[in-house]
This record gives sequence, structure tokens and C-alpha cells, in this order.
Amino acid sequence: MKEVGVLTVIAYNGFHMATNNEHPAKRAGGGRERGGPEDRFLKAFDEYADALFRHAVYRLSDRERAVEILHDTFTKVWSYIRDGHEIDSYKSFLYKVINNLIIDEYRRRKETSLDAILEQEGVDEGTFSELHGGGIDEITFSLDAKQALDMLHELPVVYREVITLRYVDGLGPKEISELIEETENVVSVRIHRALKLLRDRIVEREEEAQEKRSTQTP
Amino acid sequence: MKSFEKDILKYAEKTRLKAMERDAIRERVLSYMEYHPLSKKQLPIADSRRGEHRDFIYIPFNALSVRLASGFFALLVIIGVPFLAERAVPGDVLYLVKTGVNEGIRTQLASSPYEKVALETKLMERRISEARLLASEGKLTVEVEAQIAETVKVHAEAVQSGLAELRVDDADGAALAEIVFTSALEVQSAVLDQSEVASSTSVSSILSVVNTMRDEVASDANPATPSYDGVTARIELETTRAFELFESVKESATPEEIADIERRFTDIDRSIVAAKALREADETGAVTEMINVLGLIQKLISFLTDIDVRETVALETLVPLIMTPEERSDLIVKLMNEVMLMVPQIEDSRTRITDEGLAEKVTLGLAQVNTLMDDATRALDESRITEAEQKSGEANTLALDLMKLTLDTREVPATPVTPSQTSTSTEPLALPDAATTTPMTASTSIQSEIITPE
Repeated sequence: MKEVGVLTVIAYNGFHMATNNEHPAKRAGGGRERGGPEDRFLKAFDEYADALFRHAVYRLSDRERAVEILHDTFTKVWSYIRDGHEIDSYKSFLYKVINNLIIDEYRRRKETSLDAILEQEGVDEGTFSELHGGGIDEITFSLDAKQALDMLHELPVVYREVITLRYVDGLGPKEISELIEETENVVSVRIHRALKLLRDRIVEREEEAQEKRSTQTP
Repeated sequence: MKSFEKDILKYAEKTRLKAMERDAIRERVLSYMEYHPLSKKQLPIADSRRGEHRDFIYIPFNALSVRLASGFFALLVIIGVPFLAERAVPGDVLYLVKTGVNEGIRTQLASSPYEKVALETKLMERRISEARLLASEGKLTVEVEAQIAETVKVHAEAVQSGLAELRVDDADGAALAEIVFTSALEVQSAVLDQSEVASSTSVSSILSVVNTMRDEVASDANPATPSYDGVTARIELETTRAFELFESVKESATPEEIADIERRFTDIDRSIVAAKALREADETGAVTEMINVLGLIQKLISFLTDIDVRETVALETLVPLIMTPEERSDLIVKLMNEVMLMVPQIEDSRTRITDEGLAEKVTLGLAQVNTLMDDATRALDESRITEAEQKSGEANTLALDLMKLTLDTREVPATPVTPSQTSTSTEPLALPDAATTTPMTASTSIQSEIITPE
């Protein structure tokens, strides 16, 4: 009985337990250091993957591409860490990266610059004074959340961006302004205009439906 | 405002990753991290006593350690018996612990239908390994073989019913599990086939069960097809696993074996790149290519993990070489050079043929060889490699047949050109079907093969 012999030796000599580190290849998986960069990175994945995915779905209206962009976001962030950079706030950094990837995606789709899209879609930056007279509260009061969400894809990309960040991701105007590198005023004006545009489109759609119903009724 | 914010968030939160999507992305990211690890200086030092090298924790001998040792002994019995049972084969005392306790626990732990299918596939492989082990030791009686064959069948059927269940909820998972199952069947079929030849003990009934299952899966008219992303994620995962396994067997492998395995990794990488390039134009074709690649990786993993498989079957049998376009072109040129050497000899022999009918057949055959050579040259010039392979192979076979046919008329019947010898130098590379026809077989069909113009 080899096992009994081993136990006798252990009982006599005391128990020596090896504490060798794990193979480096395994470190990125289950064997990573607690609190190390890998651990923090994977924690960020677990915490933000769903929110980032949701953000990408509403921005792109394409679930499959959203999955790919989510994957690319995390591999890009990992490469950034590998290059020796440190990340203070994963949330804002991840949003920044995914936002850039989404803009790249728009450019790839339209094969034109974002400025050109802006021009095409007739979006100017507006003025803060627009916020007076019919404020955001007033507009959202009459807006149906589900309808607004369903019609998000009909908005120009810059409006879709701020609405997604504000209402789907729950970010404040200050956070959004840092993320998209615009002033808070511009962000607020865009949100205001986007909501107005959504309201107008919903009303337009309802009127069309109403008209259709009345023509069908004998 | 608050209500709008709350409502919109409530609806938006319904959009989330499916569990499988989330797991697949996480696994892909983990694979990426493993391929691109942090440098040592970026890793934190886990032990608070930095710089102090401590390989062992020492527990001194006292009352506490005696209690600990007793506890350890009890633990050893609880863990040790199932551990020892893992090596048991049918007929051993601990075999029932292995199949009843150990595997029972694993079955209970497999929570998702995908895990259940994967486990049943693993268990099927285990039963076959046990049979091979017994056969190699000459201990596989007819009764035990029948018993194992029955168990293999039960596991294979469990896989199939699991797949049917999985197809309802998770088509992607079902398709991927089916690829793993098919690869396992193909590997086991090849290994059993070799065991049957090498060992004096028969494993034919187990082989028959495996082959029947393999054929059933292959003849499935509506095989499940995974999504491109699903199969790509799985390939990334399995390739990482295969690389790790390769690293672990490198020390014990010969330089030739290492080169052989490295070549397969290169082939697999090349196939993945080709499939990705194909995606833009033909998504279905790209998925089919990716499925083939996944099958090859699975077989490579079987080869790397199972020492018994490694000792029984050649890697070439399980994962045949995939020639590069350059290698394929070289082979075509080689075949064509052989034909060019044979043609003058056939022409020379034709002048001495007295039988008019035979002379006419040889003339027509030569004309056909020339046409095939022209076609092959054109196809090669235009990079239509598959067509060039086919035409050069046909030309080579036909020329060999004509050589055989005119052999009697030659003054020196000894082997004038040695096309078959030069051909054997290309044996490790897969030849097109037409080129592998042996001269003897081909000569019997020459009369019907030569097309007579109207």
C-alpha cells in the first residue's frame, strides 16, 4: 500500500506542500492574479459587456455587427493594457473605444466622413437658446418610450448617438460631452433636437396611420 | 421626464447578449489574452513576501499536524479511490466506481444540453479506449467486447438524442456539438480499424457500431449548420487548446513529429485565412470551410491528447496534409514532365506495331494525351489549379496505360522510364484521384477509355 507509506512519511516529517506558480499560459484564464490587470479587465467585461452590447445594437441596428464590435472593443482595450497603459475608469474608456469603433463602422458603411454625414443629414450644432421654450421635460412628457426606442434607428447618427448615450446607457450630459468631445451645450441641444425630431416623427406616423384607417373605413 | 427615462431604460434592457453569445465572446477574449499575454513586469507579485523564494509551506509535526494528517487521510480515501478508479477497465474491482460514481457525478454536473452532449461523446470515447487497452493486452473476451459495444451504442444514442433536443433551443450549439461528435467517431473508427489489423483480438463489433453511427451522421440529409461567428469562436478556442497541448507534448516528440504537427497548424491557419476571405462572396461556403477546419482541429486534439491514438494511427490518416498552391503546382509540373518523357517512347513504339487496330488506338490515345497536356498547361497558366490537377493526372494515367499497351513492341522491355518511381516521391502529398490509378488497372480499361471520334 503505497498510499499508507506516503502518509506515514508525512506524519513523521511534517507536510510539505508545493506552492509553485501556475503555467503562464493559464494565467489569463482561471489562474489570473486577483486584483491584477487581467482580473480587473475580466471584471470589466462581466460588468459592462451587456451595456456595451445594448449601446452597439441601438447605434447600429445590427445585432451581429454589435457582437463583433463588442469583441473588438475588448481586444483593443486589452492591447492598450499590454502596451503598458493603465486605465483609471473602465466604464468611460470602454464607451470611448466602442464609440470610436461604431464611428469607424459608419464610415465604412457610408464610405464617407462623419462630417459629410452630418452635412447630408442637415444637422447643425444649434444654440443653447433653443432649449428655452419647450424644454426636454415638456417633450418627453408626451413621448412614448417604446415608440421612441423603436424609431431610434430613423434618427441621423449624431442624434442617435446622444439619445443612446443619454437614455439607453444612462450617462449624464457631462459624461457624454467628455466622451464625444463636444461641449455640454452642444450635447444638450442635440438631445433636445433629437427628442423633438422623435416626437415629430411619431406624430407624423400616427397621423399617417389615422389617415389610412379612415380611408379603409367605408 | 423621470418616467420617460425609466420606461426607455426598461425597454432597452430587454436587449442583452444571449448566454451563449456572452460565453463565446468571453472565451474569444480569453483566447486573445492568452495569445497576447502581459509582459512579466506588468504582472503583480502575488506573494506579499516579495523576493523571498518559498517553494514549500512547512507544517511541523505536532498534535495539530496529526489531526491534519488524519483529515488528509480521510480526504485521500474520498478523493483517492475515485482517482484510482479512473484507470480501471472492465473487469477491475474499481470499474463500477469509475462508471457509476465518477461518471455519474460528471453527468449530474453537466447542466446545459451542450455539456451533456459533449460528456456523452467523451464517455463513448472512453469506452472505446478501454476496449483497445484490453485488446492490446489480449484480455478482451467476446462477452466483454459485446458489453462494451452495447455501452458505446448507448452513449452514441444519448449523443444523438441530446443533439435533437439541443437543435430546438440552440441550433448553433447543436451544430458545433455535432462536429465534435463526428470527429470523435472518425478518429475512433480509424484507430479501431488499425487495432483490428495490429491486434490478434477482434474489436469488430465495436468498430461496426462506430462505423454505423458515423455513416448515420454523414448521411443526415439536413445537417445542422452553425453560424459563421459561432464556428469562428469555437475554432479560436480549440486552436488555443491545441497549441497548449502541442507545447506539452513537444518535449517527448521527435523533431520529425514536431515538424509534422507544426505543418498541420500552418495548414489550419491557411485554411482559416482562406475561409475568412471567402466570406464576403460566399458566406455558406465560408461556413463549410470553417466546419472542415474545426473537424481537423478536433482530430488534431485527439491525436495530441490520446497517446493510444498517437501510437496506433499516423497523423496523415487523421489530418491529411493540405497542399499549398505552390506544392500543388509543383506536383502538376512533375506529372506533366513524366508525360513528356513517356510520349517520345510511346511514339517510337507505335512505329513498330503491326496490328493496325492497336496502332490506331495508340495514335488516338496520344492525341488525347496531347490535348489533356494542352488543357493542363492552359489551366496552370491561368491559375485554375484544380482543373490543372485533373487534366495532368488524366494525361499521366493515359500515358502510363499507353506505355503498358505498347510494352511488348519495345526492343528493350526493361523499365524505360520510371514514372511510377517518380510518382512515389510525391506520395505524402495527396494526388488527384485520376493520378492514383495504378498502371495495371488502367491498362485493362484503356480500350474503353480512348474516345474514338465519330
